[in-house]
Amino acid sequence: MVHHVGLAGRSVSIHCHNAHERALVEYLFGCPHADPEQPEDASFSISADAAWTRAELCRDGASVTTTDSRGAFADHLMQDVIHHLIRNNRSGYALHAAAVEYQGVGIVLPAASGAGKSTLCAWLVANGFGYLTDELTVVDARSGELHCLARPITIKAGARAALAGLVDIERHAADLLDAPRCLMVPHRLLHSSVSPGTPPLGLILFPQFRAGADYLLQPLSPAQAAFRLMGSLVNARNLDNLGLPQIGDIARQAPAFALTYSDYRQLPGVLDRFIHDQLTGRGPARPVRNAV
Amino acid sequence: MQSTVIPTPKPGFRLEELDGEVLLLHPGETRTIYLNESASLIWRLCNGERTISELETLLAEAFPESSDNIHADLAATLSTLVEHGAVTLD
Repeated sequence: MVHHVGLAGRSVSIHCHNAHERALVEYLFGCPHADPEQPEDASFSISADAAWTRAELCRDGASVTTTDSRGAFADHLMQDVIHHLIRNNRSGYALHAAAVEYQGVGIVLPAASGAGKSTLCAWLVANGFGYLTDELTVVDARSGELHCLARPITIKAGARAALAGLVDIERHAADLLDAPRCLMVPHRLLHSSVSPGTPPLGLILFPQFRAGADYLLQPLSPAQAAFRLMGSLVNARNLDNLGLPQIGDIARQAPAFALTYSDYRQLPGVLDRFIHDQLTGRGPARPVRNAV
Repeated sequence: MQSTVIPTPKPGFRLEELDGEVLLLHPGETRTIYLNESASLIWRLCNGERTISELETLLAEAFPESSDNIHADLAATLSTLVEHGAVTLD
Protein backbone atom coordinates (compact mmCIF):
# COMPACT_ATOMS: atom_id res chain seq x y z
CA MET A 1 0.00 0.00 0.00
CA VAL A 2 1.27 3.46 -0.90
CA HIS A 3 0.41 6.44 1.26
CA HIS A 4 0.86 9.90 -0.26
CA VAL A 5 1.59 12.82 2.06
CA GLY A 6 1.38 16.31 0.63
CA LEU A 7 1.90 19.87 1.77
CA ALA A 8 1.62 23.07 -0.23
CA GLY A 9 2.22 21.46 -3.59
CA ARG A 10 4.97 19.06 -2.54
CA SER A 11 4.53 15.38 -1.75
CA VAL A 12 6.22 12.19 -0.68
CA SER A 13 5.07 8.59 -0.87
CA ILE A 14 5.38 6.01 1.89
CA HIS A 15 5.26 2.35 0.93
CA CYS A 16 3.86 -0.03 3.55
CA HIS A 17 3.82 -3.80 3.32
CA ASN A 18 1.52 -4.84 6.13
CA ALA A 19 -1.17 -3.68 8.52
CA HIS A 20 1.09 -2.55 11.37
CA GLU A 21 3.20 -0.38 9.06
CA ARG A 22 0.07 1.12 7.54
CA ALA A 23 -1.39 1.75 10.99
CA LEU A 24 1.68 3.74 12.02
CA VAL A 25 1.66 5.83 8.84
CA GLU A 26 -2.04 6.63 9.26
CA TYR A 27 -1.42 7.51 12.92
CA LEU A 28 1.30 9.97 11.90
CA PHE A 29 -0.15 11.45 8.73
CA GLY A 30 -3.86 10.71 8.74
CA CYS A 31 -5.68 9.61 5.66
CA PRO A 32 -3.92 10.03 2.31
CA HIS A 33 -4.33 13.62 1.19
CA ALA A 34 -1.96 14.16 -1.67
CA ASP A 35 -2.59 13.75 -5.37
CA PRO A 36 -0.91 10.44 -6.29
CA GLU A 37 -0.23 11.86 -9.77
CA GLN A 38 1.81 14.72 -8.32
CA PRO A 39 5.60 14.44 -8.71
CA GLU A 40 7.24 13.22 -5.53
CA ASP A 41 10.08 14.79 -3.60
CA ALA A 42 10.94 11.44 -2.02
CA SER A 43 9.71 7.86 -1.86
CA PHE A 44 9.93 6.09 1.49
CA SER A 45 9.60 2.41 2.24
CA ILE A 46 9.11 0.77 5.62
CA SER A 47 10.20 -2.69 6.64
CA ALA A 48 9.30 -3.57 10.22
CA ASP A 49 8.43 -6.62 12.26
CA ALA A 50 5.13 -6.60 14.12
CA ALA A 51 6.80 -5.69 17.43
CA TRP A 52 8.97 -2.98 15.85
CA THR A 53 12.08 -4.49 17.35
CA ARG A 54 13.77 -4.05 14.02
CA ALA A 55 12.46 -1.42 11.63
CA GLU A 56 14.23 -0.08 8.59
CA LEU A 57 13.42 3.11 6.77
CA CYS A 58 14.50 3.40 3.16
CA ARG A 59 14.34 6.53 1.06
CA ASP A 60 14.59 6.43 -2.73
CA GLY A 61 15.87 2.88 -2.52
CA ALA A 62 18.62 3.47 0.03
CA SER A 63 18.54 2.57 3.70
CA VAL A 64 18.29 5.67 5.90
CA THR A 65 17.98 4.34 9.42
CA THR A 66 17.26 1.24 11.44
CA THR A 67 15.58 1.49 14.82
CA ASP A 68 14.46 -0.87 17.57
CA SER A 69 11.26 0.81 18.69
CA ARG A 70 8.04 2.06 17.12
CA GLY A 71 8.43 5.45 18.75
CA ALA A 72 11.99 6.00 17.56
CA PHE A 73 11.02 4.92 14.05
CA ALA A 74 8.02 7.26 14.03
CA ASP A 75 10.20 10.18 15.07
CA HIS A 76 12.74 9.47 12.31
CA LEU A 77 10.07 9.04 9.66
CA MET A 78 8.29 12.23 10.64
CA GLN A 79 11.47 14.34 10.57
CA ASP A 80 12.53 12.92 7.22
CA VAL A 81 9.12 13.47 5.65
CA ILE A 82 9.02 17.06 6.88
CA HIS A 83 12.50 17.73 5.53
CA HIS A 84 11.54 16.47 2.09
CA LEU A 85 8.26 18.36 1.98
CA ILE A 86 10.11 21.62 2.64
CA ARG A 87 13.46 21.36 0.93
CA ASN A 88 12.25 22.21 -2.58
CA ASN A 89 9.28 24.36 -1.62
CA ARG A 90 9.35 27.67 -3.45
CA SER A 91 5.65 28.42 -3.60
CA GLY A 92 5.28 29.58 -0.04
CA TYR A 93 6.96 30.58 3.18
CA ALA A 94 7.55 27.50 5.30
CA LEU A 95 7.56 28.47 8.96
CA HIS A 96 8.69 26.44 11.91
CA ALA A 97 5.40 27.25 13.57
CA ALA A 98 2.35 25.75 15.19
CA ALA A 99 -1.03 26.94 13.96
CA VAL A 100 -4.62 26.80 15.13
CA GLU A 101 -7.86 28.09 13.72
CA TYR A 102 -10.55 30.25 15.28
CA GLN A 103 -13.77 31.13 13.49
CA GLY A 104 -12.22 30.39 10.13
CA VAL A 105 -9.06 32.43 10.71
CA GLY A 106 -5.56 31.09 11.26
CA ILE A 107 -3.32 31.90 14.22
CA VAL A 108 0.35 31.14 13.66
CA LEU A 109 2.75 30.43 16.53
CA PRO A 110 6.33 30.62 15.18
CA ALA A 111 9.10 29.62 17.56
CA ALA A 112 12.30 27.64 17.81
CA SER A 113 12.32 24.13 19.22
CA GLY A 114 11.85 24.16 22.96
CA ALA A 115 10.13 27.53 23.09
CA GLY A 116 6.80 25.97 24.01
CA LYS A 117 4.79 26.21 20.80
CA SER A 118 3.58 22.58 20.87
CA THR A 119 2.64 22.86 24.52
CA LEU A 120 0.77 26.08 23.87
CA CYS A 121 -0.83 24.57 20.78
CA ALA A 122 -2.07 21.65 22.91
CA TRP A 123 -3.67 24.04 25.38
CA LEU A 124 -5.36 26.03 22.63
CA VAL A 125 -6.75 22.87 20.99
CA ALA A 126 -7.99 21.56 24.34
CA ASN A 127 -9.80 24.89 24.75
CA GLY A 128 -11.67 24.73 21.48
CA PHE A 129 -9.33 26.14 18.88
CA GLY A 130 -9.14 24.08 15.69
CA TYR A 131 -5.92 22.12 15.31
CA LEU A 132 -3.88 22.77 12.18
CA THR A 133 -0.29 21.84 13.11
CA ASP A 134 2.24 21.95 15.92
CA GLU A 135 5.31 22.11 13.69
CA LEU A 136 5.08 23.26 10.09
CA THR A 137 2.99 26.00 8.51
CA VAL A 138 3.37 27.13 4.92
CA VAL A 139 1.99 30.57 4.10
CA ASP A 140 0.96 30.49 0.46
CA ALA A 141 2.85 33.15 -1.47
CA ARG A 142 -0.15 34.14 -3.57
CA SER A 143 -3.21 33.66 -1.38
CA GLY A 144 -1.73 34.13 2.09
CA GLU A 145 -3.59 31.02 3.21
CA LEU A 146 -2.09 28.59 5.69
CA HIS A 147 -1.18 25.09 4.59
CA CYS A 148 -0.33 22.92 7.57
CA LEU A 149 1.01 19.48 8.31
CA ALA A 150 -1.48 17.99 10.77
CA ARG A 151 0.53 15.44 12.69
CA PRO A 152 0.11 14.20 16.28
CA ILE A 153 1.03 17.01 18.67
CA THR A 154 4.58 16.25 19.70
CA ILE A 155 5.44 17.18 23.27
CA LYS A 156 9.04 17.24 24.42
CA ALA A 157 9.97 15.08 27.40
CA GLY A 158 10.31 18.10 29.68
CA ALA A 159 6.73 19.22 28.99
CA ARG A 160 4.94 15.95 29.77
CA ALA A 161 3.96 17.12 33.22
CA ALA A 162 2.11 20.09 31.74
CA LEU A 163 0.27 17.81 29.32
CA ALA A 164 -1.13 15.77 32.21
CA GLY A 165 -3.51 18.64 32.90
CA LEU A 166 -5.03 18.31 29.42
CA VAL A 167 -5.01 14.58 28.74
CA ASP A 168 -5.50 11.56 31.01
CA ILE A 169 -2.19 10.02 30.01
CA GLU A 170 -2.80 6.71 31.77
CA ARG A 171 -6.28 6.23 30.36
CA HIS A 172 -5.16 7.06 26.82
CA ALA A 173 -1.77 5.35 27.00
CA ALA A 174 -2.58 3.10 24.06
CA ASP A 175 -3.24 6.16 21.85
CA LEU A 176 -0.01 7.91 22.78
CA LEU A 177 3.28 7.17 21.07
CA ASP A 178 6.36 7.34 23.21
CA ALA A 179 9.55 8.25 21.36
CA PRO A 180 13.01 8.76 22.88
CA ARG A 181 12.79 12.55 22.69
CA CYS A 182 9.07 13.18 22.85
CA LEU A 183 5.52 12.00 23.31
CA MET A 184 3.11 12.07 20.37
CA VAL A 185 -0.49 12.95 21.18
CA PRO A 186 -3.30 12.68 18.61
CA HIS A 187 -5.09 16.03 18.69
CA ARG A 188 -8.47 14.28 18.93
CA LEU A 189 -7.59 13.39 22.53
CA LEU A 190 -7.57 17.11 23.34
CA HIS A 191 -10.67 18.09 21.41
CA SER A 192 -12.91 16.25 19.04
CA SER A 193 -13.22 19.02 16.43
CA VAL A 194 -11.20 18.84 13.25
CA SER A 195 -10.03 21.82 11.26
CA PRO A 196 -9.44 20.91 7.65
CA GLY A 197 -8.90 23.59 5.11
CA THR A 198 -6.52 26.45 4.59
CA PRO A 199 -7.61 29.47 6.58
CA PRO A 200 -6.23 32.95 5.98
CA LEU A 201 -3.66 34.30 8.41
CA GLY A 202 -5.25 36.46 11.06
CA LEU A 203 -2.86 36.63 14.01
CA ILE A 204 0.81 35.96 14.71
CA LEU A 205 1.76 34.92 18.23
CA PHE A 206 5.41 34.28 19.12
CA PRO A 207 5.39 32.02 22.20
CA GLN A 208 8.20 31.70 24.70
CA PHE A 209 7.83 29.37 27.66
CA ARG A 210 10.02 30.55 30.51
CA ALA A 211 9.92 28.80 33.89
CA GLY A 212 8.70 31.10 36.63
CA ALA A 213 7.89 33.99 34.31
CA ASP A 214 4.82 36.16 34.61
CA TYR A 215 2.33 36.08 31.78
CA LEU A 216 3.28 38.82 29.32
CA LEU A 217 1.81 39.69 25.96
CA GLN A 218 3.67 42.39 24.05
CA PRO A 219 2.57 43.90 20.75
CA LEU A 220 5.17 43.84 17.99
CA SER A 221 5.64 46.25 15.15
CA PRO A 222 5.60 44.80 11.62
CA ALA A 223 9.38 45.12 11.48
CA GLN A 224 9.84 43.26 14.75
CA ALA A 225 7.43 40.56 13.59
CA ALA A 226 9.22 40.25 10.26
CA PHE A 227 12.60 39.86 11.93
CA ARG A 228 11.20 37.09 14.10
CA LEU A 229 9.46 35.40 11.19
CA MET A 230 12.77 35.32 9.34
CA GLY A 231 14.17 33.31 12.22
CA SER A 232 11.43 30.71 11.72
CA LEU A 233 11.56 30.62 7.92
CA VAL A 234 12.91 27.17 7.12
CA ASN A 235 12.93 27.35 3.30
CA ALA A 236 14.60 30.75 3.09
CA ARG A 237 17.44 29.42 0.93
CA ASN A 238 14.89 28.41 -1.76
CA LEU A 239 13.48 31.91 -2.03
CA ASP A 240 14.75 35.02 -3.76
CA ASN A 241 16.60 37.23 -1.27
CA LEU A 242 15.79 34.73 1.53
CA GLY A 243 12.11 35.58 1.26
CA LEU A 244 12.50 39.32 1.82
CA PRO A 245 10.56 41.56 1.32
CA GLN A 246 7.61 39.17 1.18
CA ILE A 247 8.06 38.25 4.82
CA GLY A 248 7.56 41.92 5.54
CA ASP A 249 4.24 41.72 3.67
CA ILE A 250 3.19 38.72 5.77
CA ALA A 251 4.12 40.58 8.93
CA ARG A 252 1.94 43.48 7.88
CA GLN A 253 -0.94 41.15 7.01
CA ALA A 254 -1.77 40.28 10.62
CA PRO A 255 -1.18 41.74 14.07
CA ALA A 256 1.73 40.17 15.95
CA PHE A 257 2.46 39.69 19.62
CA ALA A 258 5.16 38.11 21.76
CA LEU A 259 3.80 35.85 24.48
CA THR A 260 5.78 34.81 27.54
CA TYR A 261 4.24 32.27 29.89
CA SER A 262 5.26 29.70 32.43
CA ASP A 263 2.09 27.82 33.37
CA TYR A 264 -1.19 26.82 31.77
CA ARG A 265 -2.98 28.35 34.75
CA GLN A 266 -2.00 31.79 33.46
CA LEU A 267 -3.96 31.32 30.24
CA PRO A 268 -7.71 30.59 30.78
CA GLY A 269 -9.87 33.64 30.31
CA VAL A 270 -6.83 35.66 29.34
CA LEU A 271 -5.15 34.29 26.22
CA ASP A 272 -8.29 32.77 24.72
CA ARG A 273 -10.21 35.97 25.43
CA PHE A 274 -7.38 38.02 23.91
CA ILE A 275 -7.41 35.97 20.70
CA HIS A 276 -11.18 36.23 20.47
CA ASP A 277 -11.03 40.00 20.85
CA GLN A 278 -8.24 40.34 18.29
CA LEU A 279 -10.02 38.31 15.65
CA THR A 280 -13.40 39.92 16.22
CA GLY A 281 -12.00 43.44 16.01
CA ARG A 282 -12.26 44.28 19.67
CA GLY A 283 -8.55 44.00 20.45
CA PRO A 284 -6.01 46.84 20.68
CA ALA A 285 -4.45 48.08 17.44
CA ARG A 286 -0.83 47.10 16.80
CA PRO A 287 1.90 49.72 16.95
CA VAL A 288 2.79 51.09 13.52
CA ARG A 289 6.10 52.70 14.39
CA ASN A 290 9.21 50.57 14.30
CA ALA A 291 10.52 50.09 17.79
CA VAL A 292 13.64 48.13 16.84
CA MET B 1 31.69 52.33 4.74
CA GLN B 2 31.52 52.49 0.99
CA SER B 3 28.22 51.27 -0.43
CA THR B 4 29.96 49.11 -3.05
CA VAL B 5 31.79 47.10 -0.42
CA ILE B 6 30.71 43.46 -0.05
CA PRO B 7 30.42 42.10 3.52
CA THR B 8 31.61 38.51 3.50
CA PRO B 9 30.98 36.14 6.38
CA LYS B 10 34.00 34.28 7.66
CA PRO B 11 33.74 30.48 7.51
CA GLY B 12 32.93 28.65 10.69
CA PHE B 13 30.44 31.05 12.22
CA ARG B 14 26.91 29.84 12.71
CA LEU B 15 23.70 31.18 14.24
CA GLU B 16 22.15 29.47 17.24
CA GLU B 17 18.99 30.41 19.08
CA LEU B 18 19.06 29.82 22.80
CA ASP B 19 16.19 30.66 25.13
CA GLY B 20 14.96 33.40 22.86
CA GLU B 21 18.36 34.95 22.25
CA VAL B 22 20.30 34.69 19.01
CA LEU B 23 23.99 33.89 19.23
CA LEU B 24 26.64 33.93 16.54
CA LEU B 25 29.14 31.24 17.39
CA HIS B 26 32.53 30.17 16.16
CA PRO B 27 33.31 26.89 17.92
CA GLY B 28 36.92 26.83 16.80
CA GLU B 29 37.63 30.27 18.20
CA THR B 30 35.26 30.06 21.20
CA ARG B 31 33.72 33.36 20.24
CA THR B 32 30.11 34.22 20.86
CA ILE B 33 28.35 37.32 19.66
CA TYR B 34 24.86 38.21 20.85
CA LEU B 35 22.73 39.52 18.03
CA ASN B 36 19.43 41.33 18.18
CA GLU B 37 16.74 40.52 15.65
CA SER B 38 17.82 42.99 13.00
CA ALA B 39 21.48 42.04 13.35
CA SER B 40 20.72 38.35 12.94
CA LEU B 41 18.81 39.13 9.77
CA ILE B 42 21.66 41.22 8.43
CA TRP B 43 24.06 38.35 9.15
CA ARG B 44 21.82 35.98 7.19
CA LEU B 45 21.71 38.39 4.26
CA CYS B 46 25.51 38.72 4.07
CA ASN B 47 26.33 36.12 1.46
CA GLY B 48 29.58 37.41 0.11
CA GLU B 49 27.81 38.72 -3.01
CA ARG B 50 25.51 41.52 -1.90
CA THR B 51 27.01 44.97 -1.54
CA ILE B 52 26.15 47.22 1.37
CA SER B 53 23.98 49.25 -0.98
CA GLU B 54 22.08 46.14 -2.05
CA LEU B 55 21.58 45.10 1.57
CA GLU B 56 20.22 48.52 2.37
CA THR B 57 17.83 48.44 -0.58
CA LEU B 58 16.62 44.97 0.34
CA LEU B 59 15.95 45.93 3.93
CA ALA B 60 14.25 49.18 2.94
CA GLU B 61 11.89 47.29 0.62
CA ALA B 62 11.05 44.77 3.32
CA PHE B 63 10.65 47.30 6.12
CA PRO B 64 9.52 50.60 4.58
CA GLU B 65 8.29 51.84 7.97
CA SER B 66 11.87 51.53 9.26
CA SER B 67 13.66 53.07 6.29
CA ASP B 68 14.91 56.03 8.35
CA ASN B 69 16.89 53.72 10.65
CA ILE B 70 18.17 51.15 8.20
CA HIS B 71 21.34 52.91 7.09
CA ALA B 72 22.49 53.47 10.67
CA ASP B 73 21.43 50.00 11.85
CA LEU B 74 23.23 48.35 8.97
CA ALA B 75 26.42 50.32 9.54
CA ALA B 76 26.39 49.61 13.25
CA THR B 77 25.75 45.90 12.77
CA LEU B 78 28.45 45.50 10.16
CA SER B 79 30.90 47.37 12.35
CA THR B 80 30.15 44.98 15.21
CA LEU B 81 30.49 41.93 13.01
CA VAL B 82 33.80 43.19 11.58
CA GLU B 83 35.08 44.05 15.05
CA HIS B 84 34.38 40.49 16.23
CA GLY B 85 35.95 38.95 13.17
CA ALA B 86 32.73 37.46 11.82
CA VAL B 87 32.67 39.48 8.63
CA THR B 88 35.24 40.99 6.31
CA LEU B 89 34.60 43.93 4.01
CA ASP B 90 35.89 43.24 0.51
